[in-house]
Amino acid sequence: MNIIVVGVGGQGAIFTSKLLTQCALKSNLKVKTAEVFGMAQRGGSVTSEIRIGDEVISPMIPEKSVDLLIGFEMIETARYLDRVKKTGTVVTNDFFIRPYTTKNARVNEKKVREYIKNNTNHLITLNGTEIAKNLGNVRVLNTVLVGACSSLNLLPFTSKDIENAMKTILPRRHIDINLKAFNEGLKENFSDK
Amino acid sequence: MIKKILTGNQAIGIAAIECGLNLATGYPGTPSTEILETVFENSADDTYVEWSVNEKVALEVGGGAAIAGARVLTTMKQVGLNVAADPFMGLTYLGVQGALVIAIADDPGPHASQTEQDTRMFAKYSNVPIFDPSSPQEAYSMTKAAFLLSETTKLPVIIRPTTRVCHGSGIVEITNEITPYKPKGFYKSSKWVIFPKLSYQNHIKLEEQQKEISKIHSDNEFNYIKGNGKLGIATGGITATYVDELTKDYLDDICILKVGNPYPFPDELGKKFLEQVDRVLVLEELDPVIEEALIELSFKNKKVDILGKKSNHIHYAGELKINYVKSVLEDYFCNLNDISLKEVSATSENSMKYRDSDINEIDTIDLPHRQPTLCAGCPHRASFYAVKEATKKLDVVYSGDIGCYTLGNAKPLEVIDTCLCMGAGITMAQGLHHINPDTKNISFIGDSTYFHTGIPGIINATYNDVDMTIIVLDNKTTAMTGNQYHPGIEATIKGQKKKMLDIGKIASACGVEHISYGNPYDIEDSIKKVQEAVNYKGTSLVIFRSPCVSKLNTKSYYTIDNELCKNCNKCIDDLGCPALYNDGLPHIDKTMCTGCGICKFTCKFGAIREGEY
Repeated sequence: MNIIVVGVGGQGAIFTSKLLTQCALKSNLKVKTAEVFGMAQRGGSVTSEIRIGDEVISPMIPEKSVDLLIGFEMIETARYLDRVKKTGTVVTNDFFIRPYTTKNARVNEKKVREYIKNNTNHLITLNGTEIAKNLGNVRVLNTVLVGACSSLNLLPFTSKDIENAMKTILPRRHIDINLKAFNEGLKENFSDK
Repeated sequence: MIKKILTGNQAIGIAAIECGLNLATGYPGTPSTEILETVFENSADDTYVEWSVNEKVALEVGGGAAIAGARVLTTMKQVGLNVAADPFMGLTYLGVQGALVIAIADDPGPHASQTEQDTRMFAKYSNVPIFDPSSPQEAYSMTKAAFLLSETTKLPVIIRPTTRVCHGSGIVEITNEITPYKPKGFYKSSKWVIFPKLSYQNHIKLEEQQKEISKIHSDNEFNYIKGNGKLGIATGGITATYVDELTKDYLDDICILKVGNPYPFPDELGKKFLEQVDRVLVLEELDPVIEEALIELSFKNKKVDILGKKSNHIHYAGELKINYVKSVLEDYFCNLNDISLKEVSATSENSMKYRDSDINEIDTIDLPHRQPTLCAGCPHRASFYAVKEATKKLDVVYSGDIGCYTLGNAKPLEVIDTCLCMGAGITMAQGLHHINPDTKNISFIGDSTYFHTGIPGIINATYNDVDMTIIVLDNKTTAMTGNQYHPGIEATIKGQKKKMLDIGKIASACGVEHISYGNPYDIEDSIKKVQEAVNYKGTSLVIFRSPCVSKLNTKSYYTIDNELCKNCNKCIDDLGCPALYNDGLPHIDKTMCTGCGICKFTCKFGAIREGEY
């Protein structure tokens, strides 16, 4: 399956790719990822491509064949929406980070929301930033989003697999809060959205 | 064998350690930086690891150790090789006693570089064998093969990952066994002294060696022919994985030549490939290295149509993205009876044809571009603001350099007028000064760049009496590449030490007579210091010292009193701080603000004040 994680440099999108890669390793699946970091980390638009399956050759996902887009921020979700295939799913954090602009170029949040809604066949939005903030650390947004994907059975792993992978790759002091965040994501009730 | 998730960079570092690495050197540069960091984090205490002050130094330290019989890894990015070109060209004549593998990361795109130079061309130019991995697994295996080749041929050997391999990750099978190696030590011999006569003799030998290595490359696992068809595709590097994926169902119709050693080219294998095919499409990023080798082989052997960059079918600049490769292959497969493959212009924005039914046709929307920008609270923003305020009535050219502070070029700061390469800010300003003596020249340089190649430029300025001001933006780290150590910090990669080199004292020893230090967040004092330096006749230097904001814990924040705010937007328009935004009135995002307080100075109405937690 092809997953793309999109967000703004500094939001922690790269961790999501590390976590899913670890799950794939433990599940005996093939996996490849592609990321660009460096200059873009300074508030630029960041993407991480993850390919998981019985056979993975290229790390880059061909155009319009993304099965799952995990969005950390609405403008970035909108930016990469055209990479998702018709049957694909978009799970996005409903949150805006304004690019630095002078006063003349403001973001029309309503328009971006509508665009995403009108151009996605399977869309799940959640207030991940708020959930993460309530847990005490906005940086656990990534595990909230992975939790949401897991609760919707969008990933080729069980929630136990993902919890175990977190325990393997996270520093001990970060495990508890991330497990909580993951469970908050799992608990999200999407039926009314 | 065990399976691990590794990036290409980690795979190179781990493989080098397993080869019994004795010494590793390098200078940070995206996308190569994590190779040396991996070596440091995973090697035993008796492996010597250093961040050198620049790539030339790194390669010379590495070369010294290698002629003392050690197994050595030196790392850099492609433009770093330009700095190290002098020892690099000579080392292949001199040879080594142990093994010297140079990991040079290329950056097609470019994502974070000033050029798209292709290190495979440098390999040809210098007669240095090169490995070109297509995946982290191959990066691992090739690094091991590179050490072996260097040890047996006594030549330096390059491993050249590109950004997608460096920063891509995958499951890599590693032996997880270190073969310990004890260097034999240096022995005295005239062979280590590069006199013209020796160079001549070694040059003859070197050219002979290339033929032998070409044969080795024809037989190794990294160069191979796949498929039974007559439609040829030659490829290498990351592009090989795209070709593999896109053609896996057509192996009866096509024939792939995968080249893992572009130099010395595996001629025997190349000949075999040309015998099998009717025509060839070459897919490789950057320069037509594989293509030229095949054209030469075809000229000498069997004449075959070779399509690629030289025939104007494939673009030179930027990455060959998977979708581009897909559209080119579709064209190639569909026009079997003629070679009217669609010619491309110099751009990669090739029109794409999808034959896939699963296409999601969607609307378009105008979205704001998200430029990389200096972090909220970055001390460079404060320094730039102070310099701009201090010189706003003057005719000034601001010369920049390589680092985070190149971002000072962006709106609204716009205080970088030139930027070329490491260390060129101070020196180019001198050329500008000689031609436009009435214009004030100010150069910015970061602390790591200062030690890298800044110092000779300062000596040149004082020696030639240049009236200019150098602003050192000292944030006590190599920030852009992820906080590496340098001589201006009380530590090396190995740990703490007491002494650091003082940037001001070095400048003083280089003949600078007006030197001042400032805290950039103290805007009024900083403006004064810049004005004094600019007014000084001669070479002056101001050091703005404040640690990189990424290493600080935020203790406070600022807020805007919207009762006092007149919505003039000056705070936003002057600074471009990502924590400031206007949704009808200006606000400060409390979660991003670091409490640096420079926005307070931009407000004439006293509306910006410190908030309370």
